Amino acid sequence: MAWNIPELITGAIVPLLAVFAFTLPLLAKVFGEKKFPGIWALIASIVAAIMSTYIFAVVWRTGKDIVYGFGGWPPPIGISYEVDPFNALIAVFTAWIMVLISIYSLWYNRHFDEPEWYYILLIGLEAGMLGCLYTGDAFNLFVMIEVLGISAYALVAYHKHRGEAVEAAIKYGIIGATATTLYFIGLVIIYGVYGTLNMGQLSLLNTEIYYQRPDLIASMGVATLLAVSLALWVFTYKSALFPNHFWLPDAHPEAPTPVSAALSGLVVNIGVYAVARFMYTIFGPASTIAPYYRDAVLTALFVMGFVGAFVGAIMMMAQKDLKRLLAYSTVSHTGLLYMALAVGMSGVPQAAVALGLAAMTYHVLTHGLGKALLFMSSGVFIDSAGTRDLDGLAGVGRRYPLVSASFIIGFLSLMGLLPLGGFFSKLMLYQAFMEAGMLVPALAVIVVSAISVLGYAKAMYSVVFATPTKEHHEIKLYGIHYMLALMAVGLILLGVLYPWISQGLIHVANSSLIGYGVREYQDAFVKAFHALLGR
Amino acid sequence: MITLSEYFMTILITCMIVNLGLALYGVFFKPNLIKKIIALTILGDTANTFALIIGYRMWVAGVPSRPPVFTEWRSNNPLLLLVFTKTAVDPLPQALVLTAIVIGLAVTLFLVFLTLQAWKIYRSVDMRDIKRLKG
Amino acid sequence: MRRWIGICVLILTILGLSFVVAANINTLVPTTNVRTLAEIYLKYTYYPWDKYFTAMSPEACTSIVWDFRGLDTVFETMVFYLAIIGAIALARGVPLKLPKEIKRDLGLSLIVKTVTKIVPVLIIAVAGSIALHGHLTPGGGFQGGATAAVAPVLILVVFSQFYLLKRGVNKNSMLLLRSIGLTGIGITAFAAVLIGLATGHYAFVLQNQPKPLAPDVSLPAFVGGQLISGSLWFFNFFEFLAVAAGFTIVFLLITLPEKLAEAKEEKHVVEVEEG
Repeated sequence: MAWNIPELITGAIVPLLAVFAFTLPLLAKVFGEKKFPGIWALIASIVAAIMSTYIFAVVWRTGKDIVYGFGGWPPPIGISYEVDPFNALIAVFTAWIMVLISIYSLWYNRHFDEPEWYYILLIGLEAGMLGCLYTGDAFNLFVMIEVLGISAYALVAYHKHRGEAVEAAIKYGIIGATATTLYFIGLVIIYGVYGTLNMGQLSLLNTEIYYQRPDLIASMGVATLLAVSLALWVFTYKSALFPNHFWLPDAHPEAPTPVSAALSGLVVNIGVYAVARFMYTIFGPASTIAPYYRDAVLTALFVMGFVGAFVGAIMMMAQKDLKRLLAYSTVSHTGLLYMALAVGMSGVPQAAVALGLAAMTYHVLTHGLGKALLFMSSGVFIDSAGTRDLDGLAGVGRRYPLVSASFIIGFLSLMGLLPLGGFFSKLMLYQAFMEAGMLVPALAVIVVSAISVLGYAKAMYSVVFATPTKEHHEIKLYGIHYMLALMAVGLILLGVLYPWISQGLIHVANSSLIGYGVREYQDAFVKAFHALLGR
Repeated sequence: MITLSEYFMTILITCMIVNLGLALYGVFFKPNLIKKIIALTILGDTANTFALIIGYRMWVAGVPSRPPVFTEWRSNNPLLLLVFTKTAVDPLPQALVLTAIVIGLAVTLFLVFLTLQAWKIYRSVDMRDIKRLKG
Repeated sequence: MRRWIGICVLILTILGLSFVVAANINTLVPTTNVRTLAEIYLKYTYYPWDKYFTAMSPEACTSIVWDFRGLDTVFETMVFYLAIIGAIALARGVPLKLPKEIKRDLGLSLIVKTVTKIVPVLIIAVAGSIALHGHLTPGGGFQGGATAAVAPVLILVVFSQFYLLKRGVNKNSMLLLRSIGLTGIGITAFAAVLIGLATGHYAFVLQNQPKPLAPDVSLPAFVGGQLISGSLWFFNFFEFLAVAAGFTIVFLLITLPEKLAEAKEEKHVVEVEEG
């Protein structure tokens, strides 16, 4: 039989990360426990990044979805990974940011007394995120969310002598575990009603019922609505959408700085991705919950996003702690992401929906990169000043010009200043709302940006421009500032290449989430089913 | 009139749903961390029971439905396999429950260690005493 | 006030869920039939007449857990692994070492001790049987491992922790055993691919029996006339090792004498970590 390399790599990437995590304690015994774990985690993340890049390249070039049936079983019988341009793109982004975070963790290594546990959990976090993105099976998504969740809880509590860290992890963990259990109940309902857990088949069944069996919609719709709401709770919880944001401003600042960058920049996106997958691919405009229930769910998401965007922006002004300020900024930006996601209600022209989803993807990229950059550079300042308090940090940025420059670029991008990525993603959001005929949200994007400027300006002023009130001790950077500068350049490139990126992202949205993209997702499932059945 | 099996099934499902509500109440409104964790395990067990109910098969003509283990595999008899296929319960929810149990156990285990750590720091497992963060 | 909101939410949850169940009485309440997918699983779990479409294990649950939906189980193992790593991370800096002097009269009475010297052997034998017959009868690696972990608990309670530590059952050795078990799971998951790479045939990750697209690679279903169901036996065996060791670590950590743990902790607290 011929070797199907793209498929094999799709199937191997996440289990391989698991093997990396499993073997770490064994190898750390052989190669030393101080340095080796970090290097092993870096190797793992680089391998994952290269593989995910390859997968993306194949999906982009051929324009066909990759479906990999594990164990050679056809999809609804076995588990399958299904990769389309949308999740391939977010996975590439996640994997490369994780490489940067692993490098930064090596620099941060001196804060850890027993680093091996930290790096195992970090690999676990990456495996969880990539698994959530690639999977084409709703129950496998549950398992991967738990992988992601448990490593996140453990990483938040890593500085175990700080009472705040333990408390934040408890808050995050108990409600998170409740939410995932309710998602399990939702899955049981879905299995009971549809008789399958495969996303492609669920999507296909939804379309068939919508067009051919309208008599079933009434009874199935209620159950599906409950299942979807339970599922959406865990996704919005993971991405800290208002009012589920209560854990984020505690958990993200208390985590070790590289983990804060991963949680704020990447984990938040997983929830957004999962909601998009559920509301567009599986339970799209032609499904048992359409059109009334679906519109109601999207409206609820929209309202929560709207409130969250404002709450985050306003709370940011009141913060004295740099990392808490960044955490509230994440709440605000998550709100914007959900506002963009909710654009696909019935009656909105498809071009506007495509634009909205492309804007959402764009904002995922600019916000993720910018927030990771900000957390990492603020880690340098916090180490140097020995405090997270904005007053204590006054003027510390002057010692590290390159880090400060990157820090400012990150803030300007989040604010939405012209040549940077953040401006164009917000511009696209604005355009999408205008095209959809939603004037209020379009204005809200501008107002939220304006409010958040106050918070960002305060942070920038006190860290970089204020006069130092005390002597900060110098810390060695070991070239980490070049990496931060590189990320800042990335933000500029995301802005400068706007015309090409926006075209590409509209193509991604069209070929994954709406219209013919959903049909392709279903066709890929059917084709894989017949191919793997071999008859 | 309903049959006896329908009656028992109704009781089972009612109990399960009430249990679910109580567990959720416990998780959100009990201040004691240990009680929260207990409520969480009750919630998990209820979810698992629900999955098992979904996958159950009612008795056909008074013959009990079988567990999904094909015990006569040595005979290599397709007819026995057919009988097995027609009388065994759905194995998929059971497998899902196995996975969910292990995951629930793992999360509970970690939360217990977190609670232990909280107790070491605060000398209390009551959320009202632990509240240091603003949220 | 807060209490009343809670009670209202509770009642709403109950009413809502019961409405959903009532509205879908045909699909959510069991009937004399099972779903199509379930029939496929039941039929092909042990189906020697089509060697390209079977898991070769008469236990349908085990074949779903480790073959049809093996990926779930690999990552379920990972969740458990990460939880234990998280617990170890929370207990880091705490020594699991023998104190200088041990009082001779630790533990329970002589009768209990004598019985306990016999019982753990039996427990481990039963546990091994549960684990290694997982592909034939209800049970499997996790259940076997959980059973086996009862033995160290018994010894912990009856003899005290130092009895185990003195015999080399400590965090490091158990972590090593656990890591070996998990590495075994990882290798079994990639076994078919590795065989495929060696022989030049295409194979799938987590593959067990031959498949239409990978007909040349398979793990043996029978060894010496005994049914081992290919990868299932290996998965169960390695999972047994990993879970037994994992639980032992957890019990060792959680039964740590508090005074000992805190005396050591205080030295560590001095250095305040800034996030």
